[in-house]
Amino acid sequence: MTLIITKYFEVDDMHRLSVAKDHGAYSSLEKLFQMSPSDVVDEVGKSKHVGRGGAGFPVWNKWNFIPPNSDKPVHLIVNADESEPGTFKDRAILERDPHLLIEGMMVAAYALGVKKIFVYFRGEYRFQWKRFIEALTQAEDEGLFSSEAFKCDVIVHRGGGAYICGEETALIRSIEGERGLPKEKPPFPVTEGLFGAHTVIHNVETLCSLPFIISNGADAFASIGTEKSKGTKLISISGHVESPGVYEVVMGTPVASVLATHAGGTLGGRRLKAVVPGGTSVPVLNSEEALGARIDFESMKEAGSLLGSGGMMVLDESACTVRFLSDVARFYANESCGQCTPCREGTGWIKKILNGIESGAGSDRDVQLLVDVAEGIKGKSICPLADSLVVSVQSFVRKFREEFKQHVKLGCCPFN
Amino acid sequence: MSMQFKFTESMQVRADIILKAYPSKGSALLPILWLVHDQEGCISENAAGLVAEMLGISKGEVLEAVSFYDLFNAEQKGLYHIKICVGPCCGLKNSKWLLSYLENLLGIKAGETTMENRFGLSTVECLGYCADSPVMQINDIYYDNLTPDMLDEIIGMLNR
Repeated sequence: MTLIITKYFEVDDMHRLSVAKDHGAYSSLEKLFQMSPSDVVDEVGKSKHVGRGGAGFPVWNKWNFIPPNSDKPVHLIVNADESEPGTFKDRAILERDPHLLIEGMMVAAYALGVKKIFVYFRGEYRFQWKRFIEALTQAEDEGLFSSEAFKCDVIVHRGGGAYICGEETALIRSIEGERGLPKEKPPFPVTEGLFGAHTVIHNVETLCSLPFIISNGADAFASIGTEKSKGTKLISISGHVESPGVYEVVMGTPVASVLATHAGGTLGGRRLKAVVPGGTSVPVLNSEEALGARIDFESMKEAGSLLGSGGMMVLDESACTVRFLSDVARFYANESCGQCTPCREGTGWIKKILNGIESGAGSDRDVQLLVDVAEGIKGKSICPLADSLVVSVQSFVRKFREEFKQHVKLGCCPFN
Repeated sequence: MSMQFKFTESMQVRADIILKAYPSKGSALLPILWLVHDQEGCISENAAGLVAEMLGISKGEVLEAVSFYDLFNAEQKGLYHIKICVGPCCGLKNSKWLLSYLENLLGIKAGETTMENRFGLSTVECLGYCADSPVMQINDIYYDNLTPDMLDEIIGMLNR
């Protein structure tokens, strides 16, 4: 199987430049600098590479929105603010092969004529932040960012522990020294972003496929995966499985095979109940839907969910779906930035109602109220934070309504 | 009561480097706050005033950021600040039982600090170590795949 990102994850000390170079790091640069920047843009376009942060936006489209001949500079932001529960794939890259990310940053910056790169780090990732800086300093000392062919500054910015700063406009404000409150779009960051410049924002994993595309060509990349989802995807598996962790799979791999082989099956061989396939922001799948789905953008959509970030949370028969959803709701209520009333109040209401139902104090009306509040706040805020909770609530209640009713009927959690 | 805040010499050097690297003074707010936090373990009102002066912004803007970003403490949270994750993935691995166990062990509730200010206990929503749940963090160290026995051992060690 082709591994694009995790190939050297098992090698010790890959954050050291000498070790990384022994394993092919920066080998795409020779070819890169022989190409013109616009050739690089075309090549990445041909590869049909799609962003891995959750939204699934084609990389080339993002690049193509930069107006030609603009007199404003272009900034690149690396979004390493991975904070969604169940998602820890970027953390693995930052720990085990930071030079792959640095090489990917260089490819994107070269293609777009970027002179300033900002790497926005999740505040909690202190160890990974230090390791990345160590790797970056070695790369800079080697002259990789100050050669004739390529000159660029890199600022590594550490966040303060706010999930909302993973949202592009909030992230930009956070770098500018403000609280991370999302802004209305348009203008999109690519038109008017960080410090007013054209700003292209990519997820860590997205950038890590670029060196492969340059070294092996767009056709080699596009030959991997399905018709619409090219390349590989990192899946971070947590919850009730024998071997949770980060695994790289070719797009189109069946969920059933990932669960059985990579994850080693459910804990103790218990019956599978549900899978949340792409971080807490995507609809839950019941076992049948999950086992019939494949890991790619189109199949996950068909199954009724989204590939999202690839943060796969597995719930077996012992799990209480109401408690899980209640934990999810508390997360969103805590992380709401508070500027839009429907989100600030609505996520709090949902949290309280779920808490009531889970503890056995809920009534039949509460289950309906939950659905009504979710419907009522849908699509009414500047950013998608509240809507992410809405899709969770709606899918969990639709697929596991019996469990909600049982809590009400018994006056306690049946899974305790 | 609180001492006048001042950067140590080495921290001041780091602050100067940051101020030079950022495109505008105000945009250096987060990295400067991190320096204060690393040095003091919290960002006091007094320190917030100094940061505001340094960056040419109002003290209100600094305090606003301190309260917005979860990782910044406005006051010290004990010699050992324990953050136990109660997010969805750790929840699947019964982190709430561990939280109760820890509360009993320390004799405090989440959000409090022990009498002699040795331990502070907080709940957090996700630390990004979901494969190794349940997890907690004490200062900069992560402890994963936690069991009650491990909590006994860790707290016992830190109590010595």
